[in-house]
Amino acid sequence: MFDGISRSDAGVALERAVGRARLRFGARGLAELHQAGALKVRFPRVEPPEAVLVNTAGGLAGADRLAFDISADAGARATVTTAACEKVYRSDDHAAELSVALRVARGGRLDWLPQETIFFDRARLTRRIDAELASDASLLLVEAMIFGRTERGERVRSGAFRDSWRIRRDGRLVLAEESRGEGAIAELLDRACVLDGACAAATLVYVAPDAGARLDSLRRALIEGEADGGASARDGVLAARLVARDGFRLRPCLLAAIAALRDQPLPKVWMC
Amino acid sequence: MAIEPAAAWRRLLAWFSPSFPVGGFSYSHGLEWAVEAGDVHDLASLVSWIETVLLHGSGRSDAILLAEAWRRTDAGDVDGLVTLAELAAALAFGRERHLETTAQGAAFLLAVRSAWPAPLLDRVASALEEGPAYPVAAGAAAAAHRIPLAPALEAYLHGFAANLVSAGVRLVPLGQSDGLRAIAALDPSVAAIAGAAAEVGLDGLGGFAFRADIAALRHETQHTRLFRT
Repeated sequence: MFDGISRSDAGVALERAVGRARLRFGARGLAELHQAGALKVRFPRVEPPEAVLVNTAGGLAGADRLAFDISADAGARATVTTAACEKVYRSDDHAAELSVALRVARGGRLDWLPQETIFFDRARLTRRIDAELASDASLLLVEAMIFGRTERGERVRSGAFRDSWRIRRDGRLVLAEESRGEGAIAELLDRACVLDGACAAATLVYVAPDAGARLDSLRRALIEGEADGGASARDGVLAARLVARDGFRLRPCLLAAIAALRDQPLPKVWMC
Repeated sequence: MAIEPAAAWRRLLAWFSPSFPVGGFSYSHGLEWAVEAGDVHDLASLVSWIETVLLHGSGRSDAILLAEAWRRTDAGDVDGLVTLAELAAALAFGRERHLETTAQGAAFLLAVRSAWPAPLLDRVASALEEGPAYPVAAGAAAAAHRIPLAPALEAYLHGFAANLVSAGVRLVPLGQSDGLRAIAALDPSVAAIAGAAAEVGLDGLGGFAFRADIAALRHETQHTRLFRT
């Protein structure tokens, strides 16, 4: 097959876009910052601090790698988001790789709120999230996926994605997530108990001492709007899934759900 | 040494029969909400829903976890099995899915140990703190009894599918003949997943049955409920 010939098969060295960012927040704000390659970090002047990640490569293609390492010290609070939706472009050989390490120390709170990931036809992405929390630390984690911007006539027919998350509190695994799709993505999404033909989906996880107490307000947020969603809480871990016809319909529901789990307003980049 | 095939099958028929005391009849895996919401309303939509749960949802994940539990128990790796049990419980999305898998796992282990005791299974059970996820308990029991992995996977998945069909027959409702047609129609998916799960390791975990997950989550607040999940 012609389209099976990859750059590596052709003997050409792979040009990988690589980006790394390491951020550490202390009780008085940003304590450490390293940024390398395609990743830049901006800091709007807000309290508690916010970091906005910018992928200067403008998206992910085959074999690109981005790695984030974000930690909040004891008592520190911070929100980390992205300047734009991350676009994952067509790749015929290697999957783009995204890895996220999150650490929250005693009494700290970290909100990991990247904007939606947009998949193009034949995109390939592998994402790994590892989070380590102290027993009374809080973490809000949201990942939303959009399979084709249908309002622009874009449709994802095939591709591959794999999402692998491990969240530990006090060293104990409290939530693991394994999502994947491979090959004929359109047929997969069409199945009634996958997305029933919808193109947008999100998962929210909130691990915190007050996780159970927030369940009712999150559920109220989920039943309004045009997304289909559900939430549950167990052992200080709140987990929710949302499905919407497209990204346009998902966003207001996502904003309402995030708002139910935060006392501060959403990052400004989410509102434009 | 594996036990002779006929003896292995007799044991599996007992363990995964609907009368085995794990309380399977009380769990619908979110199907009760899917019927309430209108997603499942006849034979075709029931078969399609369960088929997707098998191929792209917890059926597939359970099969992969069962296979890994079988391998670790077979190798006498009790610590590895404890780690696997932690992963299996953490993968259950939401309170009811967690209840469904751990309550059945605990009941299964208890029942097998009381009627079919095996020293290795006792060692495994004492190392596991809480009720292990059902597939982990099933894989460990099969390996401790020298039952080969392939028939154990077939029996577990057939039981998984048949239990959901039985819930669907009561909920939609459907006639007994339609229930049997559903079991016959799901047979290729059961065989496909049993075959695939024996090949892939934990790296093959994962599905995308988000709306099945949402049905399980919404079931928690469903007004009239016959099922625990």
